[in-house]
Amino acid sequence: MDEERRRRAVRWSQRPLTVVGTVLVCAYALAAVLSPWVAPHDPLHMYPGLALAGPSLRFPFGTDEFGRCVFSRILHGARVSLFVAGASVATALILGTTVGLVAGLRGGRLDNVLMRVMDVVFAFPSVLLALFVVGVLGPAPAHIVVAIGLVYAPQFARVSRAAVLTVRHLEYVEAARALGASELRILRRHILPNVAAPLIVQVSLTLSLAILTESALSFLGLGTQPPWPSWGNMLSAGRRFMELAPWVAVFPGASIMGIVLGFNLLGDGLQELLDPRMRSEHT
Amino acid sequence: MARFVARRLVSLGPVLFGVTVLVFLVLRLIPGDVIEVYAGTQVGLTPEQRRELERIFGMDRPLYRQYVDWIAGVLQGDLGTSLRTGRKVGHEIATRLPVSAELATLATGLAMVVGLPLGMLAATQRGRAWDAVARVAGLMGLSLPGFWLATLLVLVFSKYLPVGLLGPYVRPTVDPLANLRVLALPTVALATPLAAVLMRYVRASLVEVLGQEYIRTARSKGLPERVVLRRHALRNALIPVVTVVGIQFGYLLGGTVVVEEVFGIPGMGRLVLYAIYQRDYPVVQAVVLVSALLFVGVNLAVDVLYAFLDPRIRYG
Repeated sequence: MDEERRRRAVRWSQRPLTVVGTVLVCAYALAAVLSPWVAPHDPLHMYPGLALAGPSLRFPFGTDEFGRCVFSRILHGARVSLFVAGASVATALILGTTVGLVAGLRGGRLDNVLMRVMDVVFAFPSVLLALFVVGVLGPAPAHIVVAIGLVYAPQFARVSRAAVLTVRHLEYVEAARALGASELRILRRHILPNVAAPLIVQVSLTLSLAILTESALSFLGLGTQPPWPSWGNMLSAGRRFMELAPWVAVFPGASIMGIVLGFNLLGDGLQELLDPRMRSEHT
Repeated sequence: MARFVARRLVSLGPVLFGVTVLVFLVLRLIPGDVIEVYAGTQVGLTPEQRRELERIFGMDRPLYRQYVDWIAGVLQGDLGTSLRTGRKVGHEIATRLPVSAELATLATGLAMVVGLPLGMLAATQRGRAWDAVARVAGLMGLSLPGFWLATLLVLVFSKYLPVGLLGPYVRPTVDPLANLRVLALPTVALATPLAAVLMRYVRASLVEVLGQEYIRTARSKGLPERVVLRRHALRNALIPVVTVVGIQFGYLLGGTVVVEEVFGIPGMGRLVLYAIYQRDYPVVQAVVLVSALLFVGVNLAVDVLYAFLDPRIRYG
């Protein structure tokens, strides 16, 4: 086991892109957690007479149209964006995996009904469905989480159901069943560990999609509401002043791209690490 | 083949039913209700006025009845009436859909022109410099937020390169050249992430095919690499790409809210966005329904095309 773990760590460090992804994700997570202590200014404080000031030592990313520190707002925005994206993906994971596991284990008519329901959600273009739900319910953080969680649940249902179906009738699971193990024990000891690998990959890739969706909603005025900073609403407000002050539009967008790239790199790396078929392709 | 299409059509029934129910039910979740939205905040409704409005909107009837009436209308081509303009939503969609469809076609086309060759290049040069460049470029394109790219394009072409690519939307029937000129940047903004997806997909698919036994056979027969690639590998590698292109096209067809908003293009995406801002729910309902139906329709077409190209699917 230790040997296997060591080998995994070595493979990990041999993939520079995966290392970059891991570093990016860790850096953003730290920024989100530590923002109240490391941000140089109060993200809501307006410095009179300093509106749209260019990047300087005092304001590394310049100031916005109200004279607020863009760098501090981006650090605090990491909190909002990562929290909303994390909660959304957790919702999608719990909802989708429950549906997928039940459908895969029970089979039959229940399986059919559950997966058709997931097909219905899948039949909508994803951003449009999120926009629809948030537009109707109103732009509260809880509504955004529910909307994005709903939109990305079907992928988790499909991934977990497929994993269950491949292991359910393997000999060692049948053997456990023959030995009298309860269904719950089989689920916990034999099925969940096999479902975990594809789900972890899916979580990483869905986090990048959730961040993009949340910032698109905020950009359209239907996500996080001002004065609270989120990368999407900062970019949307900055758009009107960007000819005078390009930094108010450039830095929030670059922040989004950085974390999305981080999760994509991490997801790709995890996939190659956890999926033996992909691994052999590279050796 | 006919049986395959028939089977797919039958399995589509429950999904279409579910789509209409979901669209119908989400609108019942509006805080307050449509009548309050319609009346606005400035007037206090008397109970009589309220009942009269409920009767006009059909809200005095049971829920299933309202659903049946709505569906009956939709099937007869009546998508409802805007609360704000009093115009038929069907007319509005008929003027907006072609705009989104043109943009979707241009963007998908550009993405294919860029993404397919890059994917092939990366796969055939696997492990070499070009492959690394293409993979990093693909990941960057995939991670680029569409609205940021659109915003940056506006910034660059208004401030640094004012070559007349920005301007109000022009219909192709009025001036085809001016139409293409104003659609150039939105097309690039939409095509970039799509090209990245295609590139990655083509690369993965072609790498897998190139590892197959029959490719080794073709090579050992002494066929030139070009022929092996074109006659044997690409044919099989590109079939799954059809699905990706189709899904993305169907997605764009329903309107691309963010890019249409940034460039001020009067397509389906802007229609639904402003309907949401103005709480014009019949319009929101109709656009979401039409977009979902288009998406489902394109997916069906892709499935059929896929089965046509790959006989294994038909009999599977």
